[in-house]
Amino acid sequence: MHELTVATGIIELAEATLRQNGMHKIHAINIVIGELTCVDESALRFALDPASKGSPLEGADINIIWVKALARCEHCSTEFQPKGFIMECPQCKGLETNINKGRELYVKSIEAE
Amino acid sequence: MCDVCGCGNPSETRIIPLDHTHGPEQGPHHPHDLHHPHSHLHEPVRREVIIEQDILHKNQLFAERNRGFFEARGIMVLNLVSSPGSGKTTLVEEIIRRSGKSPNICVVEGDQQSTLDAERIKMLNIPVIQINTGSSCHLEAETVGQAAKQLNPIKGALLIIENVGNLMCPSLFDLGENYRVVLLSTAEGDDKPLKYPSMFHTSHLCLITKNDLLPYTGFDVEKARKNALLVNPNLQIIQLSSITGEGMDMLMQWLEGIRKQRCK
Ligand SMILES: Nc1nc2c(ncn2[C@@H]2O[C@H](COP(=O)(O)OP(=O)(O)O)[C@@H](O)[C@H]2O)c(=O)[nH]1
Ligand SMILES: [Mg+2]
Ligand SMILES: [Zn+2]
Repeated sequence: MHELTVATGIIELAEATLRQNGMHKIHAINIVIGELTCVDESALRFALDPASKGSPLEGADINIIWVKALARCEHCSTEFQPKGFIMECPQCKGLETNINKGRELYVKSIEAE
Repeated sequence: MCDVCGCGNPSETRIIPLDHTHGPEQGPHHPHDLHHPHSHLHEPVRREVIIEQDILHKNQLFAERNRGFFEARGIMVLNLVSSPGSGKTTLVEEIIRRSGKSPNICVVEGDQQSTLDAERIKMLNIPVIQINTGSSCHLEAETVGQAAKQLNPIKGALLIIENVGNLMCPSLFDLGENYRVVLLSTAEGDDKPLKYPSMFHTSHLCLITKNDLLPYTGFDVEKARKNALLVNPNLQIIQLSSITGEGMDMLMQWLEGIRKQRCK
């Protein structure tokens, strides 16, 4: 379960930011996840719960902002939302497509004092 | 799916060298510095602090470091990924057997527990290190880098990393490899590329293994190819069997090609 590694990464980023800003309490954390990362929201929340015990993230609101996948066809420039990693262009059926969105996996910000 | 293995604690990961001729056990440990280019205004009120940093950035940093090490040394690196039992270790053994008298191959074995796979490779007189990931179900770049340095491969070497058997999690973790090779055995079903697309999407080469079992499994090779190409049109596909040897020549040719590329 990679979600626990992701959870640990989130907690480390939150703690380091809190420390470097001389703050002491996190009210909320905003996390951005693309749907192509294969991170599962319930598994991540499930992992974050015990992992954040005793950390400044304990009890904070976890806001997850999902980014839909977006691809662009190299042949006809059509932009489309690939479903389940299937990269076929709906317009020209071409398979040479570039993923522009959906791979995000980062902590956007914390709301803290 | 992985609730079963409930993995993830990196402190449980252990590096176990099997070849005593290849360096001491302890690996260099790098402190990880986090960079935060943010200001330090002290306000007692609640406010938003922008972070905008990749959650897996640490792994990415180590992966880039590995890539630099591999490139400087002239080492070609493969990351083998698949579900447990699709034939990774058997294939590595077969590649070694077919690589002549001085194969110049090193192996990193990843498993949650045991040194069984590394022992199999060691039997063939190949330098090998086992990484036990404990409760974690994928290899990460930091430990792979430590293992690679202990193996100390020489110029032109092929380093084969056998990842933990898992068709999902390892796809998120770049190890700094040159090629990611996904194995799909004919016993697993031709629908797997659509069910676990991210692994096929991020791989360069797909090996359809256990070709000798085709008559018994009802696996439709054409369907599997089509499904794999739907999620990754650039995927190269080779069909083979490590037991009967069919298709192995093609793989060996592919390997020779990429090794030449690096030696230039
Ligand atoms: N019939 C057949 N069996 C194979 C082949 N390759 C591996 N196996 C068997 O599949 C099982 C799992 O193989 P192993 O290499 O340990 O898989 P790994 O978990 O991916 O490393 C073993 O019993 C192997 O003997 C093959 O090409 N054909
Ligand atoms: Mg194995
Ligand atoms: Zn198109």
